Amino acid sequence: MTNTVLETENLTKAYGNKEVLHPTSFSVVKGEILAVIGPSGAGKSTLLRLLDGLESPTAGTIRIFGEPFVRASRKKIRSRMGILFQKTVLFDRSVVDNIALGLSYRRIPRAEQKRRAQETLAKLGMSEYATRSARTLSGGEGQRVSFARILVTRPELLFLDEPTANLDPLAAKDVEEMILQENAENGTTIIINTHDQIQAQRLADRVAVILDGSIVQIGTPDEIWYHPATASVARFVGFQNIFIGSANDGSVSFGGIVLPAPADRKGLVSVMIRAEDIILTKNTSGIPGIIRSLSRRGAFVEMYVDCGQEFFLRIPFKEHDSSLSVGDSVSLSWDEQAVVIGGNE
Amino acid sequence: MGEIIDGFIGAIQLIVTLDPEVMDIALRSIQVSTAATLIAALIAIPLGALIYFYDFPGKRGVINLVQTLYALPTVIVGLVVYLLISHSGPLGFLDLLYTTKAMTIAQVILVSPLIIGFTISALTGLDRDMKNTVLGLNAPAYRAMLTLVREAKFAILSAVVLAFGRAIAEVGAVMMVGGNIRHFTRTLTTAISLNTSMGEFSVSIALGIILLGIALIVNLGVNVLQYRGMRVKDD
Repeated sequence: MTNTVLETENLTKAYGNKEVLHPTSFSVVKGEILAVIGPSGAGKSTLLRLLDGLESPTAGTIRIFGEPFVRASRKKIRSRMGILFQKTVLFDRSVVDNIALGLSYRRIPRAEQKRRAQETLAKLGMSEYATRSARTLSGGEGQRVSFARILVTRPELLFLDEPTANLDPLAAKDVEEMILQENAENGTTIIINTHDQIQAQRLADRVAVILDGSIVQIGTPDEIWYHPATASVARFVGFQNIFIGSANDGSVSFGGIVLPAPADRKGLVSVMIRAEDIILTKNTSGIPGIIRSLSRRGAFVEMYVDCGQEFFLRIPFKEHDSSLSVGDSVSLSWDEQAVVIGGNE
Repeated sequence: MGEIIDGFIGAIQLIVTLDPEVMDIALRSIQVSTAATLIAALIAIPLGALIYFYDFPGKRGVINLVQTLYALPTVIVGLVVYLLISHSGPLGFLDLLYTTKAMTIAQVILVSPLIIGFTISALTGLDRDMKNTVLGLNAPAYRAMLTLVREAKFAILSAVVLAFGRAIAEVGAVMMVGGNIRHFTRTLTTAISLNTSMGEFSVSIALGIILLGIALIVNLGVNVLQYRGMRVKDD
């Protein structure tokens, strides 16, 4: 596809005998924001460092802007990219000189460097900080300046490695706005690593879930959060009820419970239901069960209900029937769309 | 005991009256060691930055070797330089033996490992993402190194000042290649050595006080630089 900005094929990284990134293939199109989510140590940062050329792959290829991203082409391709790290990096010089640093490496005349840096600062509403030492900035201001240092070089492809992880919520929001603005105004393609799932949903066009060094699913936020491909993805994005079932002829059965399933599903599958999607009633119209435990967690009531399989439920406290107690017989039901049938692992 | 007290009194007199010979020796020491430290810094800081910046097979071994050379015996350096520049040596035609140039060369060899090693340590002490940020901004290698050296400037300057301290305090190498010739190659340390052996304690003590004074200034310099470096990090 001509619109493809970045493409990897079987990209792999190993340190000694330990493979930290298993063969990974994916692509990103122009103007897209791809969020890479996954637990700490899953391989998110390794992936980004490979994509930026800070580390060399053990195997596989990367193509950026249609060219193989190799040692010979690295300088040329890198001049069109930028990377921002989780830890704010500020140099011992003024704010404006920090922002102009990348321009100075590009042999842009000093006056032009200053002008563009000042212009960027003005856009951030930080003009009055220009001559201040960058080391005197707060965490949020510092990260915005670090980000501005990249934006001023007008990158077409941006890598952001947990850019708001060390910031308070307000400062994080400022950085998120910068990300969205850069994407909207300049059509910059962005790959962002984040452990913040809400942030990924807010920012990304597509989300890649990386678990144990493998990208296990890439899709729109809706696909990831409502149609996880596997039980591991479901668990990571907050599904609490995951069962192994057997699918055949348009139905799936698990622990004596039979539910409709897509006709093409056959054999062992994962059946996944979010805790908040389960409806609990006292009548007998649904799957019968007995409350095994019940406790309040802030604005919610959480309970385990034994229906042959144990279900976990989270009900808003205001909607909770306070007459219910442990040992009561209840019945569970859910919207058909709340049930996700995924692959078995 | 009386000798020592007399020596001290005589030393104070030599310093207060700015005795021409004592001042001549002190100045020569400062000149030779300053030149050696500056030349070593010009060679060793870029070399340290190169070793830090690039990954290559045997890098760890090279760093270990450099660190081992911190304790390079001065007489070994003196011997090597002597053999190189003596009239029958490969560089004998340069006529360097028993000159301040020879002493400078010996001190350059002596203190370079110190500056290389401390430059590597200073750069390694920077945040790893600082190097990645500079690379991510597509800096040419030499500009990237310059930026990082600038960030570690206080730690590197401390190393240079320490190197000056080692250079001015050493005696073995300058004695061997300089020859301790009066008015030509005599330095504070070689003069102390000679005068002590001749029983001229006043001159030895006077030169010793000057040497200690220089050491004190060097130490103060290191402390000031390290304090400034820490303040920058804290900011």
